[in-house]
Amino acid sequence: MGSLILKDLIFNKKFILLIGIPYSIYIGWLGSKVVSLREFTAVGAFIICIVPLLCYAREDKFKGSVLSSSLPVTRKDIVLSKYATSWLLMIVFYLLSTAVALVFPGSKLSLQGVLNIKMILIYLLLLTLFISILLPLLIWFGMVGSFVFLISLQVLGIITLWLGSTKLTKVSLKGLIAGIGSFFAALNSHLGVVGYQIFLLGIILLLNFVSFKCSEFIFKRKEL
Amino acid sequence: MENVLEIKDLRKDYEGFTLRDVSFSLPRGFIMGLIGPNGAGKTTIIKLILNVVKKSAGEIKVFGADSLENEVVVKSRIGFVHDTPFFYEYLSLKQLKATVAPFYKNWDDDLFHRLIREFDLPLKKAFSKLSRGMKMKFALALALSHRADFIILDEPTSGLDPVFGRELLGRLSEFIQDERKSVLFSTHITSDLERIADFITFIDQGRIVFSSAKDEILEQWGVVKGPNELLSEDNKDFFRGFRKREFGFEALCSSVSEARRRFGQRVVIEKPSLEDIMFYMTRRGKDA
Repeated sequence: MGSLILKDLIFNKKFILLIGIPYSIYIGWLGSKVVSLREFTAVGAFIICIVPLLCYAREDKFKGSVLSSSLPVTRKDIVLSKYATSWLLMIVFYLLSTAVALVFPGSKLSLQGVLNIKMILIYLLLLTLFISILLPLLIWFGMVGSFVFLISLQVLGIITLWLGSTKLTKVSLKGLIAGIGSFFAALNSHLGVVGYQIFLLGIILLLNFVSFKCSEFIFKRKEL
Repeated sequence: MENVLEIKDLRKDYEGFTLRDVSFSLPRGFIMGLIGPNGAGKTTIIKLILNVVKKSAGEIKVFGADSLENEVVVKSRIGFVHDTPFFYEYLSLKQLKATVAPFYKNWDDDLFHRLIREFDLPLKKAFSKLSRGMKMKFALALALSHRADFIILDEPTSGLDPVFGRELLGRLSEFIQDERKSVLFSTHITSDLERIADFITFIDQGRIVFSSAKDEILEQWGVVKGPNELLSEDNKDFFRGFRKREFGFEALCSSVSEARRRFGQRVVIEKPSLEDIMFYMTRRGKDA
């Protein structure tokens, strides 16, 4: 698997250097300007997870999967390496953007505020949520297909919100988000700090595992 | 004789095309030419061997082992050259080599650099800047540098000048000199194979038409030329394909001895080329 990660890093070296790193610095700079740690975390995690996905989208262009599948590796190895490389890049970009956000002159973020176990776990959870949905989609549909799928979801979301605002349905997005928030708050008080952190870590691992299994299922059946 | 490749009842269903009942084997130490017109299914067979596409049914054994169950071991002994080399175009040859070499335990860097020198390839140049011939040479250098036991080439000479074709065939002949290595070579340019192939597998419309030793085919088969009066329905059935002209017919038969018995001195029988065989076999039963 190390060879596959190395291959992906060499293939995407220019992209990582010219797009990934400047992007991370930009997010860090943006983070230094905002007061809300929540905003920095959510926006940062989403943008950072896009970079490895764009690397794999470029693979579509060169039919890189045909080359990978012709090499002495299994399809499972190929999928596993995609997750490993994605996480490697995301962690590097997260650390870079966070460092920039903290050291940039006039930064409103504090070291204790950003780099504590709870915030790190929340960041990792957000990265997991994004990557565990987007990577299987990318493997399944390719970049264009994934965009079509995501735009369709957005359209569906808009319709749902509209239906909610017209009171035709009883769907309340605010209520739903508040409900999820209350659930996690209740869990936090019930499990205690350590228990809650172990719970979050468990969710992160579980989501990654389920997402990996879905991607493996898709890729093993895919015609390249 | 030990087989390096054994394919049995292989099937692949696509919308509008089915590769079916594909069975053939390649003994170790030989070169097999996989011939057939464009769209016959040659590339599909190669992609199935490499697990780039999934089979619908059947069995593929490479080095005596199931190609899927032992995928990593099997592929580490295969060198491949695809019809279109799927490399990142903007990377230099040196960078591309750095991405491929770590996958092979038997990678021989000295051999790679020797081949690069012999092929006159610029290591620092981007892949996209190379001509098609140079791209194929680079893919071949990669395939040979990990001391593979089995080389698979998909249309490597298609669209290239004859000089490169000759050079490639020379390389492949050298490659099998130790009688332990084997080559599967797909092409629709049959003249390439007449020089070096030991076995020929002919595929048309997704089905294997024949798979035999080349010399056996060229000795037993013949191009029959004679007057049109001889083209009775029975004789038409005897021929594998025929072409009727104003002053006589030309036909392909798979048994020269049977043709001599049937027609005696009334016809001329010539040795066929693989191109003749491909030409007539793809027009079976029709007046080409």
